[in-house]
Amino acid sequence: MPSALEHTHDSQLLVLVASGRQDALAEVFRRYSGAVHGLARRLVTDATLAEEVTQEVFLRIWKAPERFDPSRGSLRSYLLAQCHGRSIDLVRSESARRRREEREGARQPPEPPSTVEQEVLGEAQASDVRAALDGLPDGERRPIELAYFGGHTYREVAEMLGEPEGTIKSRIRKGLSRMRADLHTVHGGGS
Amino acid sequence: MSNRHPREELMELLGAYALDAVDDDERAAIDELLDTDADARAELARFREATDRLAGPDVAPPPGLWEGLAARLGEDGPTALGRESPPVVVDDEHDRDDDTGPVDGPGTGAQDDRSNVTQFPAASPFPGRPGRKPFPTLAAAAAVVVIALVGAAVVLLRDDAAPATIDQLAQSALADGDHEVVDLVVDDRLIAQIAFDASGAGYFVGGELEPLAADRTYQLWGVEGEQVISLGVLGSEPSAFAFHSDGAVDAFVLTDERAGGVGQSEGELVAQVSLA
Repeated sequence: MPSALEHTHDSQLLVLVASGRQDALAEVFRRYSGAVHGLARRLVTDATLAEEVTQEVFLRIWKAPERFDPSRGSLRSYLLAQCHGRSIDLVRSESARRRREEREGARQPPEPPSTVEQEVLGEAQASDVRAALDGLPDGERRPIELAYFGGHTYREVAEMLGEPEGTIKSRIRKGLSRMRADLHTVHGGGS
Repeated sequence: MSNRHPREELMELLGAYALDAVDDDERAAIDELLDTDADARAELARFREATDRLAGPDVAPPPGLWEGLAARLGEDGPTALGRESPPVVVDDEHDRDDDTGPVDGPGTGAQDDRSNVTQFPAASPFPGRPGRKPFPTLAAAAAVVVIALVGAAVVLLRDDAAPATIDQLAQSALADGDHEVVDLVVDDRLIAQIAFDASGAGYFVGGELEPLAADRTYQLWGVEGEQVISLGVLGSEPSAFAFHSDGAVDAFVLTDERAGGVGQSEGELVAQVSLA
């Protein structure tokens, strides 16, 4: 059954959320929980933790809707950014826990320990993600992969790749700009 | 902006910021820049269009996730849901004309967020109150239904023909027990009160509101079902204000707008209160 708020604009939904309307939050959830949960599943991989991340993202917009600033991007972008941050935190802590257990001999890993980005990038081979990245030169694609899927800072990426920090900053900017341009070329859009 | 991080340096970092790949001190400096620099916000929005592409296809959350979330909302919300899980929209076809917008499937009719996004004023008129953020656009056609009756200069006549100021009427409404009274609170500080009765008549008393710049004004809104109605333009230093609402107000919202008021909000959320 369609929601009564089905045709309500995102920005007005947030006004209603700010006024305490749970049905408005339900509509936000209806629209974007698929995107948020998809990203959480790809980054966290553990189904239960991904569900927890998804809930936390929407709980946060319920508690502090005023933190969403439409001039910094769409509501979908905001929710995905929240999901990414929380997911990477979990991946880092889980990875640290696993390394600690391995050091202590609590259990034998089934395979040699892998890096975080290897773990999550393997789950992110969806065709549209690959299409977005494959259009980039290696020098731009690799820093973006390591930062987004690996949760590394640009400084860490620079060290890992043996490049100056300024080079990595610049390549990330160019890569993202190229991805956005490709998006508008593919869809014939522009803004 | 931090002295340690010139603007040019922070602008260079916006791409890494969009990937959540900056250090904490850099993130704080960029947050500060974004609060005051519209170009930086626009640049970030463009980068986020790109990072959205990295999120990949939608995955429907398992049944029961909404119910679990609803149970965690606590008792702050004004309404019991009383509804089943909202149907989740999943972008099965990945066919997005606009990747930054909602990902509703065909026929859902949900709307794109970006085309009507309003650019909000960047600088907070309340220095030192970082918690204030732009208020989302009130996209409904909001009717400005109340003439601004700002300040105590306006004089009304009571039944006994004795003149009473808006201030006096408002103070009476706050105390008489015939009006419902709600508080507008920011950072645990009471900044204003609203008294209203069943007929829709009400008073706003904002004695603790901080004055705005001369080119700004407070504006009061009522959320009535699906509609957001302007209840009045209060001025930059409101004390007491009378308003009337034709419908049952579910919540009051106070925003900071450009002087003269607006038909739909372009400004920052100051406070809101639900009438649950």
